[in-house]
Amino acid sequence: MFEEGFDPASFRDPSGRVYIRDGRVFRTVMPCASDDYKYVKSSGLIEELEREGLIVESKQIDPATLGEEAAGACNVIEHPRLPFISYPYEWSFPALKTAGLMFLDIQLRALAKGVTLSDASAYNVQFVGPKPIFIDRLSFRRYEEGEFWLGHKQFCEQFLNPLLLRSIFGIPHNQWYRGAQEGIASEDLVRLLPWRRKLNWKILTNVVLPVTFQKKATKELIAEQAKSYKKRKLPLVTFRRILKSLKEWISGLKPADTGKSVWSDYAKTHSYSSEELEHKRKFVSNFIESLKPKLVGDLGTNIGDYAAVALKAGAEYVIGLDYDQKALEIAFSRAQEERLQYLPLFLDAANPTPDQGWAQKERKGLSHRLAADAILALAFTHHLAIGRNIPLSELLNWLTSLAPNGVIEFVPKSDPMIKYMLNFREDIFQDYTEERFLSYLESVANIVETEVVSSTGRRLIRYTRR
Amino acid sequence: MKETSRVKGTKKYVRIIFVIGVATLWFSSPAYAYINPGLGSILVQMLLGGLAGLAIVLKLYWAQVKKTFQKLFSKNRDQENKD
Repeated sequence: MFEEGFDPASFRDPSGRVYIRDGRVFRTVMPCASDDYKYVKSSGLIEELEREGLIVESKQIDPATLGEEAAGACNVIEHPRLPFISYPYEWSFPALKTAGLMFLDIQLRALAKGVTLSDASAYNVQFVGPKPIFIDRLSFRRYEEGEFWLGHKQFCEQFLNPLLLRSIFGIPHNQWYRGAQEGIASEDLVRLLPWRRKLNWKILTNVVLPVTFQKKATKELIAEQAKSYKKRKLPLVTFRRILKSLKEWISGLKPADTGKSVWSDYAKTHSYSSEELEHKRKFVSNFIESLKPKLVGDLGTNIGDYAAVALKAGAEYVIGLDYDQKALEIAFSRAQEERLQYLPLFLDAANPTPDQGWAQKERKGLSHRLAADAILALAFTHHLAIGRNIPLSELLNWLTSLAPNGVIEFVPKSDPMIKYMLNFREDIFQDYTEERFLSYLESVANIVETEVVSSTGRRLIRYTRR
Repeated sequence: MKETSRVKGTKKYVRIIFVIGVATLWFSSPAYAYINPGLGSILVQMLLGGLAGLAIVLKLYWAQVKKTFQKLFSKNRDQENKD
């Protein structure tokens, strides 16, 4: 949950700031952005994008509503609150790709209305379910005939390069992106690229040459260029061509390691007939039906089977978390195809997204954003307790801190999965028993209901936090 | 029809020359890297935007081109003197 007051992520652009007050989201428009704001408004672009759900709605309101924080602002607008704020380093490959394509689409449509975007930050794109939505109304400004695309470098580093990292080398962007925050620097990517790739026209002009030229340019040349910069022009037709070619290129990119994961292909090979699975579904379904939660956190979401069950049972929105890239990709495609209010995100639960960025406040850690009403942790805890040596008591403390209600699955040591995990290592987990599990859980929560759902002794436990 | 294919042909030709040109200049020593972020990307856009950009890019490499030619000619002269 975001704290009240000034949103610390909105300091970069002097055109306005974002404030949270009484759970409502406001954006100020400062005098320096006033002309552009009016121009863009009159262009008709915003209404068009709002109608198609491509940009978050903006309602102009009385500045007095915001009180003293509105001081100096010429306009105050209110946006509806999104169910969850996510960051590009939590997105799966298809999510980042979808976001990048939407960005290009918006930039192209803006140009057609004499408007352009002042930057190309991936943080200005959010998701509602698997559908991307642009959130920064003040990034739009008047397009001056012949101006350059100033967001090109940012677009490449925040959208294109992370996708190339995966599609060329099979390296998922998430961990690197999270560390660097501003994306994958072209300079770094260029060092990895083999010659053959560097000579590819698209890679050459978007990634390699900008780095080469940047290194080449001298102080004198910059000073000289700065003088004549205003006179030089990027013809609109070339601008559009750059955008279109990026769009075409990106839409064809796919992960080098997992190929094109499509949910429909998976569905054909997946069996749903198992009685045990049906048992588990019923338990989850009953839990959700009785609670009617708005936001559910599904830890170890895999390909979204239980997220789908939860949504069907009446949950409003599900955030899925997993570290398996292939599963996330399938889950994302599934959410798209079945139009689920479900967003699967990358998370290593033993190392969750931290607070980071400027003053460690700009981008929030997972626990500061996930205000879940309920969690599902199915076939999840043993991966942390056995796989990552997290002590059971700490693990249950952490899990129950995420949401006041939830369903947790206990997998006994006799289960084939744990046997497999312990195959090549010493069993140092004397503490890992069902009895201890239940007693640790009972020290922080009330156990509402439990049920054994498999012949191997897996048990589902529903809790309510104390 | 003919016109477009000729344009396409020329485009391809320009691209090939461009790629070769860049490739030959690749490993030249880096100059000062005082730069405002994004200038490299603007320079590429200038290049894509037309010939005006090409002149600027040539300037980036001018000293080197000059040196290469000077070397080449002085070699030739040495050769002639020997002959």
